[in-house]
Amino acid sequence: MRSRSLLTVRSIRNTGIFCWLTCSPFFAHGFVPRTARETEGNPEPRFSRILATIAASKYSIHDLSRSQGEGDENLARLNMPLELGMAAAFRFERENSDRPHRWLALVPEGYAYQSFVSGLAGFDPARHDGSVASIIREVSAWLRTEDDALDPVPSAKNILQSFPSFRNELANLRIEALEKETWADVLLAASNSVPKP
Amino acid sequence: MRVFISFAHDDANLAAQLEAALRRNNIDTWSALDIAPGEDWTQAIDKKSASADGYVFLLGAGASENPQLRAEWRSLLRNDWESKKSLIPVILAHGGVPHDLPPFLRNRRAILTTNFDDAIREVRYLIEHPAETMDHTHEQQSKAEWERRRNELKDYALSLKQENGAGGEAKTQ
Repeated sequence: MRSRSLLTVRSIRNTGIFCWLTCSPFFAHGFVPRTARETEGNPEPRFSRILATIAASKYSIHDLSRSQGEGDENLARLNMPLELGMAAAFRFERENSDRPHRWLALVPEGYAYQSFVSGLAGFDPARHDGSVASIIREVSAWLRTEDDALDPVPSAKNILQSFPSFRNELANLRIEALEKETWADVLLAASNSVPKP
Repeated sequence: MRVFISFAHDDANLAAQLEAALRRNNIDTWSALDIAPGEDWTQAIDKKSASADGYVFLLGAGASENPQLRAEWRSLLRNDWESKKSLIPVILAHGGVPHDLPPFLRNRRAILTTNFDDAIREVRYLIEHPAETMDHTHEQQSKAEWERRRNELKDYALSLKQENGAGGEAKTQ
């Protein structure tokens, strides 16, 4: 499918918001949201599935805001930097080809990222404060500048306001699926609740 | 009405002319040319674009591939989160509207700088009539395309659901 994308935002811990955030902004701009979850149940290792999904996508978004020490053992989550590395390699490898890859890195507000991931210097990462509103603003602003985006699109504010509708749609689908909703259900809930331009 | 002028470094001279001409027409403008020495570029762009009522985009050849310009566009669009600000593309070309306009400007009325005085008049008119910055020629087409893509995405979700049904459930988190 044309202009497929991959969105893997990790900073939101609330499952409902996470599901909505990984779908609605992309739907609103005409992109297809993809994550490794769409292939859950596949016997391939998660790493391979993510690599294949990024390879098949034209765009990817990587949130590094949780790649800092946390918990009793002060461990950082490093899967996202690993995935960003894949995306950066695809971008480099496919430069000037007919299968370009473009990525956006999301980092915590301020300049701390320059210390823990200094390699991003010059790539203009998007900074957010961890709130849904700030992530939506950053993601929408980036998507609007990318070649495959539609115009006009719903405003970032309208997308943010669509969350209650998404939650209701997903709740209904969850009941139909006997509490075992799939990633496809999440996509359907997003497609039914996304605001019009 | 406060207007933010966005331009690439190579087009600074024309940006200065445009800014001066608009100011002579009593339009409050701001651009990166007004950044004071030592001032933080990112913060200045963010602050001024947030307080602007509209944006004028000077677009020279290759603007869409200019990383610094794209970063500036993102700052501007981030501060237009209600999509209520006027977006006015000004094309620095003599051969017509280029095909690589950024997507957020494809359905806006574009102004060519073939005749500078005419261009200033048009920019001023659009600044004073923000509702007319949209090019309604393709409005129905754009809405139809948005619906088509939404349906395509829905079909994709349904096909994924069928695949999941055939190959086992993939429970969300």
